[in-house]
Amino acid sequence: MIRERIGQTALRAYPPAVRQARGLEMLGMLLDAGEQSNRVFVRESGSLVLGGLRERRALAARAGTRRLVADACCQAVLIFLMLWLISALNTQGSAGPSRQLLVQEVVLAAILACALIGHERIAALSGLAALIAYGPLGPHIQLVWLARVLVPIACLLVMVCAPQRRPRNPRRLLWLLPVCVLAALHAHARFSLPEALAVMSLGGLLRLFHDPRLAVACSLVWITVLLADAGRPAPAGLGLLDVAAVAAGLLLTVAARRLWIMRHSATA
Amino acid sequence: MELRPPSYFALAALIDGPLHGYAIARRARELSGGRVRISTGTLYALLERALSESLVIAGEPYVEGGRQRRDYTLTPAGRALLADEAARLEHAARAVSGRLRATSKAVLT
Repeated sequence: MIRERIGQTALRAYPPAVRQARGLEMLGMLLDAGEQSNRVFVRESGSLVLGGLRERRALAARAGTRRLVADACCQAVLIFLMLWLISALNTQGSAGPSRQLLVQEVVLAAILACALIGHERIAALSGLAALIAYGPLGPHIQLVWLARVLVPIACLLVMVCAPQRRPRNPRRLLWLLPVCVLAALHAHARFSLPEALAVMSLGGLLRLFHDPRLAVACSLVWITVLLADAGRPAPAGLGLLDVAAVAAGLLLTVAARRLWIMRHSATA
Repeated sequence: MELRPPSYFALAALIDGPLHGYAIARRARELSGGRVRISTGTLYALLERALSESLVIAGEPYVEGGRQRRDYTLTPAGRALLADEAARLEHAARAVSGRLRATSKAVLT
């Protein structure tokens, strides 16, 4: 029973379509092979995880570079929405109850939920409308404010034109839970938003072997942090500007390299 | 098209008839004299490729001993590819063995 559970966990490395088509069969073979010894079972489970990651990489490589970059922009929109929602919830907590803030939070949460489920085009159009309504895109717009929304607007436009091709799934709404937890932690000053972004970037780096999308998405968000921070006076030591520049540069470089490798391995 | 040893022996395992995943891995190991060990992840990756290239066909899934299985059968295209690869390897082995024999005679004399 425990082996079956371990096998099912290892199988999660595979894309859902492969899991559905051959998952039970692969699990059967893993259990058959694992009957020899625990060592063989561990080795076979490891091979299953590696096989799954290779399958995901092949799937991503077949999608093509343009699709991967478009997907990365869509994922960046999700990160922007999460960070904006956390920030809005935190402002509400520190500045006290405000009707306008509450409306903004509800709108942001609704847009994020819409995007998570898979209605990305609707979410992106609503996001653009919300940026115009609540954001700095008014008649007295300043260059610094424009810099802050330049990348999010570009990503939202990509999301309108080329949303991710994935089936709609309401279970993705569970992502709202960590957002709420992060908002609560953020309110108690347990972490800052760049720290949350750093954790996501680490996740992007860990996924880089089979999927460079999250790394590109994180680098786009870091670029926005960089642009937003550029207008502020520079601190004496290592500032957010430097961290953002290094993170964006590093992530973009390794993700571009990975994309290049995947493109060439797909055409080889 | 050149086949790597795991693909070659996995396809060769199907010469005598359809087999399920674990049986293919076991048979491939026997055929290679224990030199090729195909893990679950590797086997299904190469079966997926062989299916997409119509070298094998997959049967309907069935349950045996509480485990789901599916038999794979070698297609005529798979058989032909295997025959080509066996001929290529035979030719390569013969060429090298011949040269080794000839030079060892020369060294001895």
